[in-house]
Amino acid sequence: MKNSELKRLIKSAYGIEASRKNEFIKKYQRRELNYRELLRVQLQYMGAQLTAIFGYTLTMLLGTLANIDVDLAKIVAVFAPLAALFALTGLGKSKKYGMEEIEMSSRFSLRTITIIRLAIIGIAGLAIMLAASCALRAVTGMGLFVSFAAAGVPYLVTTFLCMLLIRRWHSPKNIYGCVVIAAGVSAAMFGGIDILEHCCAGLCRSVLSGVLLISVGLTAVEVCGYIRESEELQWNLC
Amino acid sequence: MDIEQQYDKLLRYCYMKLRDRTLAEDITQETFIRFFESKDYHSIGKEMAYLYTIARNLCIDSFRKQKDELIEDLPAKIQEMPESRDKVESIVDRVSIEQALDRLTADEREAVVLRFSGELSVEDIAKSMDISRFAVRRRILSALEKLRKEMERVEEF
Repeated sequence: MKNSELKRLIKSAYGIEASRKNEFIKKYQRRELNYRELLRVQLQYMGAQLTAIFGYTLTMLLGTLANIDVDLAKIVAVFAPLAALFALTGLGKSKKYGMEEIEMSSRFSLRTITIIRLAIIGIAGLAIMLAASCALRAVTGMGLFVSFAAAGVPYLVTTFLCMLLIRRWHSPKNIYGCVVIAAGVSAAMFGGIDILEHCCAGLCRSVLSGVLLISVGLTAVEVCGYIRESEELQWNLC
Repeated sequence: MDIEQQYDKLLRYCYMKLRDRTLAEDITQETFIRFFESKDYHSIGKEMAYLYTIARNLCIDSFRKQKDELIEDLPAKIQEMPESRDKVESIVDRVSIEQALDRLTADEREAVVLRFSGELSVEDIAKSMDISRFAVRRRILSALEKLRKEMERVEEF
């Protein structure tokens, strides 16, 4: 027997039908989802259009109000909790529709997806607050730091309190609790903003810095806790 | 690496080791999953060698777990209903070569299947089996000699 014939026979040995081959290959040769793609998908999922509409509406509102004799600082401080609430609803969408288990089975871990979502929300929130601060400064002549505090403190306080609630009350209805919190912070700003407007230098400014830093710190703690919890299955937390 | 191409080759190898088509396919898929999750082949230097090393180890683990004796997967051959004389001869050849391969030692069988069915290089086979290239060549030559004699005996019969 020739070598070539023998080798051909050896090659044909142990050949069996691969019944699950196509399914397996389809699963493992699917398009790689890189981080840029994930970011794009998350923006769409969270409602980037709604966020853009919100940002546009806020800008137009501030621009209009800048030409009217109103207490713009009060408007910004009262409106900031709404911005925080809007951002949090985007984060909670996944839990509401029970998408965690599907997302967990994807290539990226839920932790990664949560971090990306929070980054999107954080950057969007920061952009809105900076825009509001700049508008406030331009109209009222307040210092940039004080202007930023006028928008940032209510935003961060709302975020902190809402995340505190979300992490401890695992229910789709917790968004209503967040609405109550946002309304409460907005109401508090009616009085609080008067104090802020008179804050110009020295001790007052230090206190304001302290409040802002504490708000940032507490919010960061809650956010880190939220990210850590996202690694656990939702039903383990119930 | 082309998964589509390598899947069939790896499946043959696993079937040669385990003689159970369902288990062979499970092990094949598990091998690919572990291979893609691990980047160790960079340190070993050879993709294919690492792939078949994973497959061998999984086959050994699977074999040890099985308490009952492995039954050769006869239905796989019986299910093939030949429609023509050529197909009948093809099946007979396949059965003959598989029986001849079964008469080799495990090492010889593995080396020859990896070389001709898996199309691995001698170096990859050596790395995978953790033996020298000389030993691989010796086993392949010895196996081919035995297989030739066996097939000639079958042809005479």
